[in-house]
Amino acid sequence: MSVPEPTAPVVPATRVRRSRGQTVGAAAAVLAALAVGHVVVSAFPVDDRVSAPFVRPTVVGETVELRYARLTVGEPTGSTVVSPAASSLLSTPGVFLTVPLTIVASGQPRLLSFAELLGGDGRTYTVFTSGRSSFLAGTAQPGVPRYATVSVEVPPEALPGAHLRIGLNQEDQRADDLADIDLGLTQADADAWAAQDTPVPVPPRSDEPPEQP
Amino acid sequence: MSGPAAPPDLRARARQSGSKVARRALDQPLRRIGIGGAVVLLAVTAAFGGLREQTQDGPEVLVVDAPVDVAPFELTVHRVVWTTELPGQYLSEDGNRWVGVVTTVRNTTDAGVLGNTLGDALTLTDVDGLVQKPGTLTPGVAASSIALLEDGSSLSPVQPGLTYEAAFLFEQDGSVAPPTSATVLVQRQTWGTGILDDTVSWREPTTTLRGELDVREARSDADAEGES
Repeated sequence: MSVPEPTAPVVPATRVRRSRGQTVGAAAAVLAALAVGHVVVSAFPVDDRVSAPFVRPTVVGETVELRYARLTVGEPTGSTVVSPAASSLLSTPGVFLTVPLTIVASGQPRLLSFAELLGGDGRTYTVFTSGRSSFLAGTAQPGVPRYATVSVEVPPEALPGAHLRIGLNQEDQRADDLADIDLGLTQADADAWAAQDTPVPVPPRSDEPPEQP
Repeated sequence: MSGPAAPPDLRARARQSGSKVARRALDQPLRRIGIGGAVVLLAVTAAFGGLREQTQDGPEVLVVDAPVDVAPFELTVHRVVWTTELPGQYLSEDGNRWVGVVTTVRNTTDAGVLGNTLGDALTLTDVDGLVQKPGTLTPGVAASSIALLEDGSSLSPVQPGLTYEAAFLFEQDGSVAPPTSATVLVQRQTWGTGILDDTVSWREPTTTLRGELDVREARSDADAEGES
């Protein structure tokens, strides 16, 4: 005959009964804390400032030191027709602006892939890794100059006062260095390039300096 | 009046539990429970925009050569044509053909927009044998490519302040007869974040214009000059 194992006596769980006033008070306190938190976050929008890129201003011909590379911007030029290295001629009702860059990576290989043009007309002109407005530098090795060209399609009125921005990450520039280059363009440049139909070559990206025309 | 909807044993258990809420809920007739459920359901959908004001009843009629504002673009549809050859454009299979919607495109915002957003703005339907890219959520069939008439390049990015003449190109199975008509759908998009994705972008293409247009075979400039 088997003897049942002695088991520990079951102690009934003690339920702490709170008064209705305590429950309502606790709920009100939680809601009040949430409301105060919302007000603090709304009144002091620190997120944008904390995550803003570190803008490094520079001008054509000068070298700017970024966290990930040294960047030198060459003389911009423009026309209504460009001749990309990897495709046929492109024509625009506006102007194709081309800007040569020299990139020297710092510390490790870097793939700079962000570019955009802040037009003098207040608009932002998108540059992608392919398409009619493009920037595709390829990987720059540390200490080895990498040559690439930004090509961006804009209306002529965007050129005077335009700034080119170059960064590391194509999708996210938060909390990282961002070069801001004053291209020094004038209305005379815009007028001349809008009337120009001689194709401007866009040299292929390379570790070799592009041939001078 | 109808009696309580819950079975007697369930109501008895509710009474034994001592819960006033459970007892009262189970004593309600079926009609009242149904109405209450509908109210709760409506309240839940309100959290996802269920009570948002409807901006329009349905798509308006698309008129040829009339510009329409469909954020982030202004589109003007000129004509729909088909052809078997286009310089610089490649069909996925020999023998297929292109159905092209010839348009004028303007980006009406203050920033450049990539071509995939433009692709969501105009789609085609009511044409047999269109080759559709998998995974598209836009109403109708999205264009295989959008080519500039000037140089045949793919229109991306679409920059603000410029006016582009472009053709939305749809590939049609060559074993199907060329279409004589097609329905063009034009979508407006909304700038914002998604429910599960906090990236800000143009989203939620909603058809705001719809037009059934005649389709004819494309003529080259030489053909057109020969006829005149």
